[in-house]
Amino acid sequence: MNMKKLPVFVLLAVAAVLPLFVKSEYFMHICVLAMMYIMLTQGLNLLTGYIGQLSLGHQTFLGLGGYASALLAIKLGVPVLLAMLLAGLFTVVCSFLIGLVTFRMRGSYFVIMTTAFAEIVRLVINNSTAVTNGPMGLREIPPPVIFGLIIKSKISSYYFGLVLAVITVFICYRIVDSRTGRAFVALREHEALANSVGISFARYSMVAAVVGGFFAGIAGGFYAHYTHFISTDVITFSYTVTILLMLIIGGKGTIMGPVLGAIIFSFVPEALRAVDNLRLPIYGLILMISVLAMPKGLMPVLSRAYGRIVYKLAPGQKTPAAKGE
Amino acid sequence: MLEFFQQLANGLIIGSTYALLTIGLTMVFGLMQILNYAHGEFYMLGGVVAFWVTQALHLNFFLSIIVTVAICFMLGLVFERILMRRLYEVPIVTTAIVTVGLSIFLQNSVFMLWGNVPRTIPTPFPLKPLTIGGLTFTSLRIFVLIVTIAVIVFTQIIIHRTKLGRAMRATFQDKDVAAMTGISIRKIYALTFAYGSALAGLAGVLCGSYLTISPFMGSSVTTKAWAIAIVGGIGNIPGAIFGGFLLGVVESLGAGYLSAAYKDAYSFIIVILVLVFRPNGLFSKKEL
Repeated sequence: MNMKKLPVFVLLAVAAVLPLFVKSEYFMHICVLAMMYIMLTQGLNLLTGYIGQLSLGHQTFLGLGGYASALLAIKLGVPVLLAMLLAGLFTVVCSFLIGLVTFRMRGSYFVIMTTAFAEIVRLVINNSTAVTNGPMGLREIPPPVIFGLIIKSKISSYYFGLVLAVITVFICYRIVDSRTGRAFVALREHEALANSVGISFARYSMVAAVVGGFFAGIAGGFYAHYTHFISTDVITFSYTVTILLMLIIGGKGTIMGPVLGAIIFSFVPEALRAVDNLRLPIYGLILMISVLAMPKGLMPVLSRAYGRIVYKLAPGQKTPAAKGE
Repeated sequence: MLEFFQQLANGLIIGSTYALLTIGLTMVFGLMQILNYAHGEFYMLGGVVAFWVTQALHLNFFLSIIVTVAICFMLGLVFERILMRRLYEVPIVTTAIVTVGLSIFLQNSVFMLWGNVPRTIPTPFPLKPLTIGGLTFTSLRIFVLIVTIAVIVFTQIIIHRTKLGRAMRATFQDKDVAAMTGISIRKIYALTFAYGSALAGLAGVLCGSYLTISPFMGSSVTTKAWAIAIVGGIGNIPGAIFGGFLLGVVESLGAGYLSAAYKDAYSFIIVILVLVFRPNGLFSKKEL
């Protein structure tokens, strides 16, 4: 095992034993939500971090997945795990269809399109009262059951979320670390040049959107079955801003960046609880300042510092790339 | 048939404020390549400042409009100096993220200081509607239409008949060449942003006098203004004016005849159709 991957395994080990040391239910609740955010930011990262197209509509797939999974479980009695998987496939279809239209655009047009679709989906869900119960949301969504084990407590939900999050991160890592991932970066750095060697924007963006959509859908199902409630609140702009903040502060275009960002910004709101009214204005300030002062996020800073430590302790060891892979 | 014309007229009045709102947005994007997600917040600030001016300073409605527009112009200059100036040379995606941050900051700061009670700016106009050729209007709405049309004409005169306007158009066509002829690009940018903010503020006061003001009234408006800017072709002012009126009419007729619940979705459906079939806007020629 090389030193480059050591921090990842340390983080994973800490995550695995965390519930042994944490007695607070509330703290565990935040950890469970952090797992959901990791799934979300990881998916958005493919499109926004690696391909470089900003989507302000990622929360749409969270909502669609949550509603689909909840409706399948409540109305049709589908087992929850299967319902979550089907919801993931449903969001894949949705992101494919939306992608067919949006990936004709780039840059600012693309951003506007994503907000337009997010608003349309929110209005449709809110107005289809017969199916979705409108703005009241869906209640009493059953918890997941795995091999007869009901996942209802905070700790079991935490482990369930952890498994899902680790799978998400691993798959995204494998994608990014492949030909496909290099094609993403090529499109981000110079689209015309990428086209000239046969890398098509529409095709690779679609891959990123579909994978991101799938994990967002699963995250939505996870959220709905964990909180037993879903409403169109999850498709509002404040969710987008939260996800975006996590992605930007952590470091877009890196794998561990969004993970760190998701963990940090799951807990920051709690730290700001004392000044609850100020929380959102502070978010806005953090977003503005961090993008301007630290456009690449925390990850490059951390990985450079880690590289220096490794070099001091064991000269000659393979150090992490300065870009923070 | 009468109902149709009534809806059409209502749509044109709403549309005039949309046009006002979009002119600034489309100018700022055309000139500086900033995807301004905080544009609607100047609209909101216009409403809030006007309410505050009429309540705290006891100015009358007409005076409060002038004071508010002046304040929004100043705020535009201040934000340009502090923030926008740093966004001229960065990728468009970054400008979008930063202005999303600004939007969250402004909305929630106002919410914190001012609460979320919907308020309406008091006006001296009588509530009794006027009837003109079978159509009914409140005199307030007619006042709104007259003011917006006057300001739109005024803007066109500035852009096409003054030295400043010529400098703006030159900067829009080619900023490097414009700079070589001695135009201060920074000054043009600052003035354009402030002017756009002032127009958005004016739209906020006018809408705040017959709709309600709340700290979050800007967010839906930002997306609508972007939809209009795209429909008209980004950077195209006549296009923005036409698009504003078009959206107003479509929303009004759509709410009347199709479904009122989806009123806010019409702008997005239009923008998606336009982007799919005419990606450069309905009038693809690039002009300011």
